[in-house]
Amino acid sequence: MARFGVEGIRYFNHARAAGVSTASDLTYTFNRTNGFDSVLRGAGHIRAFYWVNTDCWETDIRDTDQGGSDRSWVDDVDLFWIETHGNHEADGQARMLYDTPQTGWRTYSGQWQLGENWNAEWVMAYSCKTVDRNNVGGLWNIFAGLHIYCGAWENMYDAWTTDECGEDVAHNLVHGDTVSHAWHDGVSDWAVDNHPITVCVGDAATWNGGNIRWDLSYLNRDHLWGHGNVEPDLPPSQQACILWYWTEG
Amino acid sequence: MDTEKLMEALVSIRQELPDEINILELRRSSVDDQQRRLRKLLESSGDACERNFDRGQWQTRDDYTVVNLPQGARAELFHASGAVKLTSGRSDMESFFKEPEPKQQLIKRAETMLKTLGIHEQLGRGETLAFERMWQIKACAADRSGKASEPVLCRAVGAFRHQVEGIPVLGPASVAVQLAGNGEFDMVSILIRNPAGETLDRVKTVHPERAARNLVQQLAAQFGNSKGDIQFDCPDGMRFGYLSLPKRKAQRLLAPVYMATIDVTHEKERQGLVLVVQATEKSYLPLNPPGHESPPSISSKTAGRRCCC
Repeated sequence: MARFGVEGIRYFNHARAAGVSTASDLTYTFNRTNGFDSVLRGAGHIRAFYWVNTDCWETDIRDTDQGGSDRSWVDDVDLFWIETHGNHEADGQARMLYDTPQTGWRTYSGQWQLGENWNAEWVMAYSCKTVDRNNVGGLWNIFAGLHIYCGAWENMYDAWTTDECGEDVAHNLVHGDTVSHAWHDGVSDWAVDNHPITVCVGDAATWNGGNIRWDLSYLNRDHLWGHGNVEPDLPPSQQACILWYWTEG
Repeated sequence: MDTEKLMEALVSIRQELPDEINILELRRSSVDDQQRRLRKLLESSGDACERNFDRGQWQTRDDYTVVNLPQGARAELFHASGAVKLTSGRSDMESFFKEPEPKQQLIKRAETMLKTLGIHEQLGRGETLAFERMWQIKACAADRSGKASEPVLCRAVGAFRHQVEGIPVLGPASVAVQLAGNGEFDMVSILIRNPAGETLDRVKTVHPERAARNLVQQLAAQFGNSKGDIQFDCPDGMRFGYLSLPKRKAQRLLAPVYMATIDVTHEKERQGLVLVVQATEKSYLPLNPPGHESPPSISSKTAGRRCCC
């Protein structure tokens, strides 16, 4: 069974008051996070933490070597779901907003290093544009054993039409879908303009001189613990390529 | 907020709007009825992908039924709406398209599959399905030096819109047909809420300008206290149609709404919203429900730290 953590930020009044962002509050954050949490726990998975609003801190995902405390939170669970506002930097780093400066108001993926000696296999970010499709390599540093980053390369919509996304992703996971498929299918209703993307790293056999062996990739082989195969961690020294899989239309 | 520009974008509707519209009662079907329909779909889709879906392991839960089928295929039925999803069980990263295909060709393939699956048989009198959008799922890779592979087309998803008396039923795609390479069947999802045949009411529709004003007011309420430059875009304008709620929600009737997809650009963040406003004087559906709050059982992180210091 998997250990998972959830962070959801619905209210951004402190960030607005501090002049950090003009982003409005979200409405259906907890419809999604509660749905995700409830389905996973219902299937016997263990919730390690579920932080909300100002209890979500940028240090929770920042690497311990860089002054963060990921080994206690994000890097201490197999699967992590976060919902907040986001975007990316010009160099391809993901960037996400918090509602309390602990110690920064935003997280930058250049400071993440997930999977190391710790646990993180999968990160799911229901947040706009955290992946730059023209510079996916900007995320490479986060894969220190992490298997897949699930995010968006365009907007992710906060709407009553997307309020079941968390439940749908979790439902797919506990019914044996691959992690990548669970994300793409779960956040898509084929009407709302959500643009999911999943990113992973692969070894030299997967790169195969540029003739990619997609069948060997985490995208094809990783399932949630207890619901199918999970590939072993791939340390940075063995990483030969970065792979991404996205929906457009 | 540039209200004038946004209003202009919102009212640029590309549909003909009726002056009056019927409020339609929806057909209610028992779980048994829904399961019978699912068996029929399994038959036709089994033929389509040359699999035997007659034998499956059926499990009925409170709110959904799941059927585990041979070779990893799976069907799901959501009792609140009768929505169905059937996946082939094919590995995600195999059976790609050999090369990119023109959109028209993909649309044709999706329409053919729709016919093969016999989904039109689920439609009643005055109901149609119209192609709406072609989604493509692609994959790419790069090595350490930044050398990238050619993108491959993994799956194509044709989305179709249910129409009742020519009026689209907005919400999630009514039917989505996912195809693997060579147009082979990979997944279908269906959320069609059929009218029962009874008209509950016939009412005048609200003028689009008034609906657009209501939407702008919703936005002003949400962003009113934000200081700074915020850009609102609504490239497709408002859409008019009946509304189908998501699949886990029961619904008694079809009533018209205006719907708009709004993209919001802040200095550092981006936001996407889908707003809905009723297109009638009287309210028939619970629109824009307030979101859930976090579970009350969650303790504060700082309280936890205090306790452990």
